[in-house]
Amino acid sequence: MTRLLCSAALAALLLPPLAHSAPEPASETPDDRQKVSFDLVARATPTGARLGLRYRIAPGWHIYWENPGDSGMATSAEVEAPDGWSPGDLLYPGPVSFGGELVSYGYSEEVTLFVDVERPDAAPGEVTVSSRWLVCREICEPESGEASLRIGQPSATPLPGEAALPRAPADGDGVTVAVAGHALTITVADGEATLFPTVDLELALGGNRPSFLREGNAKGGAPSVLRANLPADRTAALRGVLRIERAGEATFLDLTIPAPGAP
Amino acid sequence: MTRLLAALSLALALPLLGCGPQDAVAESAVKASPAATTAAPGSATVGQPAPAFTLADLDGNDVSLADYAGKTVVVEWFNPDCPFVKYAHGPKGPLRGLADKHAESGVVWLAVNSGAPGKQGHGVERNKKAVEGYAMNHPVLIDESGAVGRAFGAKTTPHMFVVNGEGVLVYAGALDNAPLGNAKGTFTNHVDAALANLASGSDVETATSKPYGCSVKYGS
Repeated sequence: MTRLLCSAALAALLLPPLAHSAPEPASETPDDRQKVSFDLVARATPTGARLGLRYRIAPGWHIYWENPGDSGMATSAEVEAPDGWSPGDLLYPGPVSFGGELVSYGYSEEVTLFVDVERPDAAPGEVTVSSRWLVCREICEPESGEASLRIGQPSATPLPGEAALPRAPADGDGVTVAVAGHALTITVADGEATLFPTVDLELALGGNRPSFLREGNAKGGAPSVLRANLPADRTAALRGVLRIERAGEATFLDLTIPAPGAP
Repeated sequence: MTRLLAALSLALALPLLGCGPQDAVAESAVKASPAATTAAPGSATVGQPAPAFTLADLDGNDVSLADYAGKTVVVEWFNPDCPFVKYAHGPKGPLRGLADKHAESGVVWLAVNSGAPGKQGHGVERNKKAVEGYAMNHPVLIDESGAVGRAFGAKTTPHMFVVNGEGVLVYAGALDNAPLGNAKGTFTNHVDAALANLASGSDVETATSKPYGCSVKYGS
C-alpha cells in the first residue's frame, strides 16, 4: 500500500478518544453527534484520479484551512492507495475569514478538499482516506472520519467544488509580486483583494496581517497594494492565497513569493 | 509596585476592549473577507520584558509575575474544557506532570484562564474541579477581563510563554508540534526544549512557534 501523509497529520493512529471526565459547563448542551459528515467522491482520469474529500458541516460551525489562523487546527488527511499509486498533497479551496479580535481561516456549510492520485495504468483500485478536523462554533470539537472508494473508469465530469481551488495567476489577473531586499509588494490592478498567508508566510510576516490599500486616485480602477517586510534571513519561497473579488465574483489565486536569488 | 504594573498592563489593553463583537457571534459569523486588518492582537515580544501582572488564584490569593524575579516562569493559557487542554492535561498528555518535573529545578509554572464570564471553562468552581481532575499542582489564575491575556497576545489554549529570571520573554508559541498528540515529524515539546536551553545557560533555540488550540474565550 502506498501511504501518504498529508499536511499536519503524520501519526498513523486514529484520534484517541477524548477524555470526557471533565463535565461540560452548564451553558453548553452536551452533544455527542458529529458536527461534520465526511465522505469521498472521485473522478478517474486515464493516469490517475482526483479525490474529493467532502465535509458537510452543521449550521453555525466551521472547520479550518491549511493555516487555521489565530486558533484552531488545520484539516488534514491521509490517503491509502494500491501499490504503485502515488497520492499528491492535500489541496485546499480558498478559505473565508471568521471572527473579529481573533481571526480564523476556514470553511462553513460544505467544502470539498482534493487529492490528486497518479496510477500506473487504468486498472481499477480502492483508495481509503482518513481525515482529522477540528470543528468550532464558540467551542471546538476534534472529529475524524474515514471513507473508501473504488476508482474505476475515467470520467471527464468535474467534481463539485473544483472551481474553488486556487489557480496559478494569469496575465489577465493583473497581479504582480515584487521583492526588493526585504520589501514585499503585491499589486492587484482592480477589485477587492485579500491575502490569506500560509503558516510559513504568516511567520515570515511576524504574525502581522498586512492588508491591501488602494493607491492613487484613479477613478474606478485604482490598484490595491499590499506592502510588508520579509525577514532578512529568509531562504525559502513563501506561499499564500490571494482572493480577488470583482463584480461580486471571487477568484482565488496561488501566490508564490520566490526564494531570494531565484530567477 | 506590582499593583501599579498590573494596572498599567490593564490600561494598555483597554483600547482593545470592545473592539470585537461578542465571541459567540464572532466565531459563528462568516465574513467574505476582512476589512483592513492591522497587527494581530497582543504585543508581548520575545526578547522584551514580559508584561507584568497580578491576578488572583482560585483561592483568591494575589499572584504577581514580579514575585518570581530571578526564576524562570512558564505561563500557560488555560481553559479546562478546551479539547486541546483536556488532551494535554489528560492521563497521557504532554502537560501531565510537566510542571512538577520542572518545579524540581526551580521553574515556576502559572496557568492563566482569560475566559470571560459565561464562556466555556470560566469560573472558580469549574477550574478548581479541573485542577483536581488534571492532578495539577500549579495555580490557575483568573483573568476574566482578558487584560493579561491580551497584554501577552494569548490567542489559544494552550498558548505557552516562558519568562527568564530577568523577566524577559524568551519563548512564545505552541506547547509542542503535536496538536492532540498528532506530531508533525519527530515529536518536540517546545516548552521542555526551551527550559532545557535555559537550564544549560544557552539561548532558547526555538523562541517562537505558531500556537494551536481553541481560541481564548475573551469577552467583548
